[in-house]
Amino acid sequence: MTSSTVASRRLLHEYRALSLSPPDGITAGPSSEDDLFTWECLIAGPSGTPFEGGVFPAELKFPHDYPLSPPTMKFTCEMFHPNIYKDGTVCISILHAPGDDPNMYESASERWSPVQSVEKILLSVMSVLAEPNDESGANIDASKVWRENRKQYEAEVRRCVRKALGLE
Amino acid sequence: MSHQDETPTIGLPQLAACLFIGFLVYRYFSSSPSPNTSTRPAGATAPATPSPAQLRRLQEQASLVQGMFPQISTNAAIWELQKNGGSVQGVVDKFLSAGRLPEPPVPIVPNPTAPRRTPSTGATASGSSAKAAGYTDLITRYNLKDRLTESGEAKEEDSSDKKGKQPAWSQNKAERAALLQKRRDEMILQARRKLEEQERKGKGKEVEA
Repeated sequence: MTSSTVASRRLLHEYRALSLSPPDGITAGPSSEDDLFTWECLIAGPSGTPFEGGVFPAELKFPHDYPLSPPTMKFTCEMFHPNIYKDGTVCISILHAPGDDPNMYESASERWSPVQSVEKILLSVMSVLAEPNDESGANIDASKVWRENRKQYEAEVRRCVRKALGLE
Repeated sequence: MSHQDETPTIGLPQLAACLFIGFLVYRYFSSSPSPNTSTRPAGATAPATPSPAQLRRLQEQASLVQGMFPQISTNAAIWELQKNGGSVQGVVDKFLSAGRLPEPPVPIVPNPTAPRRTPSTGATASGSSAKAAGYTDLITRYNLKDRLTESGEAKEEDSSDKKGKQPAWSQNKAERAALLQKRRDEMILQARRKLEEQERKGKGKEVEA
């Protein structure tokens, strides 16, 4: 059995679990079942944050040795957030394998391991939307605005919310 | 003494013959899986067209390489893997020493991931709005414009629908895809309607004030 059949089986299993009991504010599944290694997800903006009311699309790309290696996640809409690169790539500890620690601050328990799951990734991303992690800035501009001018940060985020839903 | 008389029977010509036969056997085995390589000139680096199974394996290896260096295209990685006999280490070494990998003259696999991968190298480029202009909003992307104008009745139907039967799982591939799409569309439409309503209310308040 090759690693990619293990990966497909696991992905199908996770897809099933996420369909049968989807967590609040999350819709996720393969873009097409012909390729289980690329998923489209929708994440609702957490309430009580400037992201509230928004729906943000993202793409998950799984490696063929999943779940040994973590997937990568990239928002496919404009995002203004300290931990999301300008091209949409998400930078959070759960998406980093224990071996590589680019920022030298993450504890191994926060990072990727095969016991994590798509659901946990998406929930982590949701919580990082609510509470940016100041230690790992991916979007320097957003980090700066978030730290220094919260009003402007909120305005930028609201603009992204409206834009994703086609209101701008 | 008699012992020394026997040894000269393996002389230089015999040794040469043994080496020659050995070489032929080696050539036979090393070229037999892909006979067309033997017809190529000795210096050519172009490998034979891989079989589907080989290609799948090469693609897997290429994705390993791309895990480390997303800027390498699938085709370049496979091309290099074919040339060096499938060594991921070799590809990485070559990339690190040369700084880039040559693209094959003829694409080995269609490369749909390439354009999507390139932006990751441009992550440091400034000006988010320029890049963001490329994104389409969710309404356009999933073609939901017509459904936006559906009456409130449809809205209620949606919500009762949701309570009535939980999002389920189907054994059928197409049904599953349809269920997923339905959930996705509903999530987007609900959010959009809610946001529009909020903004209408907000404007109403402004007018009152």
